Amino acid sequence: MSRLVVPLLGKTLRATGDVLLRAELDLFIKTNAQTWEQVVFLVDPGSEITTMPSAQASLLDIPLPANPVPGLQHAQTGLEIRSGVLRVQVAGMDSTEYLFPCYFVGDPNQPARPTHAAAVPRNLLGLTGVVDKVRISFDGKPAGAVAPYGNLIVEKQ
Amino acid sequence: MSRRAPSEAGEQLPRSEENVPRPVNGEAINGESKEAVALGVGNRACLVEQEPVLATRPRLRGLLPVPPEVEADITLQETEHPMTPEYRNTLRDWLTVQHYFSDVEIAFRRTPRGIEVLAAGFAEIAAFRRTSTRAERQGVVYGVG
Repeated sequence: MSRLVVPLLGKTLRATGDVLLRAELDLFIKTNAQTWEQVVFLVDPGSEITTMPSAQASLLDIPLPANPVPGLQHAQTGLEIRSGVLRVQVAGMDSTEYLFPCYFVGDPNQPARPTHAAAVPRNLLGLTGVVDKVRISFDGKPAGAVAPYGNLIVEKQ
Repeated sequence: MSRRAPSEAGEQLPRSEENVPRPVNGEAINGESKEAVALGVGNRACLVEQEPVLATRPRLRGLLPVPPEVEADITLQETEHPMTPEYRNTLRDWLTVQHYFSDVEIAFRRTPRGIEVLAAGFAEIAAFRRTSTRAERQGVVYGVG
């Protein structure tokens, strides 16, 4: 299937009563052993580029560059960045393999332990090198009981 | 858009822009300005609700029990938005994982009865991967609560 429709999920923020929405996408990522690992990514159009913690990539045997990019750091955390790619299939779509540029954040041998959540590097699906391969759109119109808050739509370009 | 070809997997971006003046962004280190990338922070945008502090947090592995807070949230949402059983289960699973494992890396399976957590935290996930076969890891998903 070259089109995937994923319902948006809602969580009630007790302090305000607002229902906050989230879109997640599972990617199968190819490893050094040519196997696939299924990893959840938050779909984040506010991210310029896809990110993944280096330590998680290392843990899952996902290829990543040996050295960080000199003079480049993750703005929120100050952590080093390795510039590489993820070879992925989108779970729920056909078996097309995509190469998504990815910044691997932090030390591959040491998981980041920041003091607050905003500084935790995360699996974020960003725009660069992704939206030219798959069209990602958000349709917040409720689609009945199947998708009360609408859908994330992913289509092969 | 990416300027890289597939063959450049794992390589770093060229530094041909070194001589091009650019605005200072961030603190200067050793006389050179550090380049910073603005990346989204998703739901980490500083929305943290106060939770009741538990004296001891249970070490949850296996099939996760659905906490009353999650059931209450789903019931609340259902009053405004009817849900199919499938959507309800997906929502239940996501909220349950968030409840117990906020900002913690986990290895889990999605089952018809809910989320089965196999390992939590980098060290435990590493041990799980060392001690399990590829066949045993079929269907395992890696994510953050």
